[in-house]
Amino acid sequence: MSQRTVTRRYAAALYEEADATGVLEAIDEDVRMLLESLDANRPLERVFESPVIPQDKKDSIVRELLDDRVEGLTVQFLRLLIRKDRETLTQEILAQYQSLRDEQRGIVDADVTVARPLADEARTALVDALEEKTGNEIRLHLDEDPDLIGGLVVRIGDRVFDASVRNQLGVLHDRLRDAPLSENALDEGA
Amino acid sequence: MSNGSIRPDEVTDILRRELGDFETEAEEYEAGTVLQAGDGIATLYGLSNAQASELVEFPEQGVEGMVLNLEEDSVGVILFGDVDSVSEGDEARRTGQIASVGVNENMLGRVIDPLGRPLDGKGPIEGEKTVLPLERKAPGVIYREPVEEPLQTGIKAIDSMIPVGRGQRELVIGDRQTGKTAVLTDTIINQKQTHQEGTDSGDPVYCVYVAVGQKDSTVAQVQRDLERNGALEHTVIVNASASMPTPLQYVAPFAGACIGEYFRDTGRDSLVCFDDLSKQAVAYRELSLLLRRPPGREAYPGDIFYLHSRLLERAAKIISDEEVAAQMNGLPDTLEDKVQGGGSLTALPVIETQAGDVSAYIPTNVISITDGQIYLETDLFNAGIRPAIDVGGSVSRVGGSAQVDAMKDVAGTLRIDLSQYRELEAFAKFGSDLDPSTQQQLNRGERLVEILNQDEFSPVPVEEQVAIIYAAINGHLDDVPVDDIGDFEEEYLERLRLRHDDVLTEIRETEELTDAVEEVFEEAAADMADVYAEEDEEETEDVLADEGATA
Repeated sequence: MSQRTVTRRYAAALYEEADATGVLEAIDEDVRMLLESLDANRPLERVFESPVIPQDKKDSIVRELLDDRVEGLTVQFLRLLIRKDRETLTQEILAQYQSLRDEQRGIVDADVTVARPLADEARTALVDALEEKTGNEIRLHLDEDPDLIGGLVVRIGDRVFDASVRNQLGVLHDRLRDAPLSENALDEGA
Repeated sequence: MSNGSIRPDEVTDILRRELGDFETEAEEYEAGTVLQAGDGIATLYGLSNAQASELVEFPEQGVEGMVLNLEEDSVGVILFGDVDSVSEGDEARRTGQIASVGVNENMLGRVIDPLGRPLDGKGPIEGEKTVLPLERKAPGVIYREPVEEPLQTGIKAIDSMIPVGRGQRELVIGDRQTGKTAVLTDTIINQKQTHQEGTDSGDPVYCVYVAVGQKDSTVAQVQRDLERNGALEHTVIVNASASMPTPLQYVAPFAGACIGEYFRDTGRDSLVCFDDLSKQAVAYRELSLLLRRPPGREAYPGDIFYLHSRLLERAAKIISDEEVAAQMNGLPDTLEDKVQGGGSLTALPVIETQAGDVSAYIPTNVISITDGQIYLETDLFNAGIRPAIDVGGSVSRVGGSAQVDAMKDVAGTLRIDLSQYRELEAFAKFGSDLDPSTQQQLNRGERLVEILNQDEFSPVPVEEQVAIIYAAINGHLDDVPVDDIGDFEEEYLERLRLRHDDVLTEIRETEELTDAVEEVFEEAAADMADVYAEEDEEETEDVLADEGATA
């Protein structure tokens, strides 16, 4: 079974259980906190990923560390992962849970690359424009790349919207090199 | 420019105007990322809207690919072009276009690759092209007509005993080095006469020769043979040689079918030779295994039968009724206003067997798909029989109704005579005491075999085939020494051409064998036979006389 299929199933299970027991909000918060901690805390990440640490050790670490910090379901879920030998996928499963929730709430990620830093108004205008176009709430991830020269490139899922000066120069370059002169240019030039 | 010099500002002007036309538009596309690449295939992440057999491009590498696998969270793509330049992390874009070839008449006489790009160094293919998808549904039952018009191969053994009709699929099968390609090139060369005006040899047949996984030198040889015999003008050669990426070898037959269909659907006759489909099957097996599709018998994927059946189903004789033909299923938009009825696509696929084993997986598949097979044998080839056709193992399931009446009349018993001869021949090796009727049969058989022998690149028009087979069947050759049969044939046909051209023309036009014609044949054959028989006797007498003298 591919990794993605696995992560999707565990994430869906966590969501369904949280929804059924009415602790959805708390779980959302726990998942966010856990992901942030895993990101910032290398030893914690290693606890989950290392095959050297025995299962019962991992289990007691999780219990001791999280028992009074997070929802009971979260601890149970992590212990389940450990029991099922899936703890190495914890990070992916939690991320999958988040994107599942995003999908339900209608939030999409937009990766925007710009040539120069955006002013705050431009940023709000961009988010508004994208939200209007996609009909979804936008979570903006900004990135800077001076190579674009000007303009911007927006990527939402598979779709790419390229309005950079670099791309337009490229198109013009190809056109001057490959395409025959347009009809009217020849007519008027003659 | 009347003053003869070009001012710099004129050039600037043109460039400025070009720039003025240029609209600064944002580009919108769908992009994915290469997860894995190698061996001519790539796995992409993203592109969740991609369609099967859609083209994707890798803009930075300038490579194109075709979607073959659509999985839950990845897309499997086969790559055309510089396969090794694509690597992990590269961007791939959807083109929204189904893999297709642009076809037009200017392709005739050219060598192209399966994507329509010229390979012969004769410059770009000019003219507006009709873009046709590589994969296309074959015409349904309503849009077809039975195969009735002959496709003359110019090979005596085939036209008389295994006739091929326009719209038929006839398999050419045999070991390596048995003359399979020669059958194809001869057939293509024989179509030359259909392109000459006033020869009454039917509508012109446009030919496509698809070379899959062959040596470039072999393809160059075929090209030269066709050119020397004046057959290249009506032929397109599609080449996916052994050195080209496997994906191109896999799509080459489809590209050939596409070009054939262009002629078929515009109301013309076409002939597509696939040389050979066993190599395409191997290419497809390679791709399938790399795409992790489960292997089946001989490690071929489960849909290997469908690969060949859907390709060969595209051979068809299209209904003459224009109105019905215009509604043909699966017609691409690009062809819609050009459709004409009455066209045909004849397919001559080739399968190479290993040590004469026709019961291997791919040969049995293709035998069952086609409307008959021409079986070439190494033993016959080595015995000097060219073309080395095994009459017993060859059949044409629909060609009979496509044979001209005159040929049907003379060749009716040829098959049986020959197979009886083969049986007797084996038997006669054991004993020398044979009754006269057996001896007579052996005698006749030997001459029939000799008559059906034919050199490469020398197609015989159907009326001449009728004439010579008539002479043999009716016993006029029985007294002619076997070694002289070739000369006899030549002189006999020359005599008919010189003195009885009207008779030959009559057969060609009416396709009938009338009593008057038979009489002419009788007379000419008997005359010639006398000459040869006498010569023989004289020679024998000379020998006897010599012997007498020495004694």
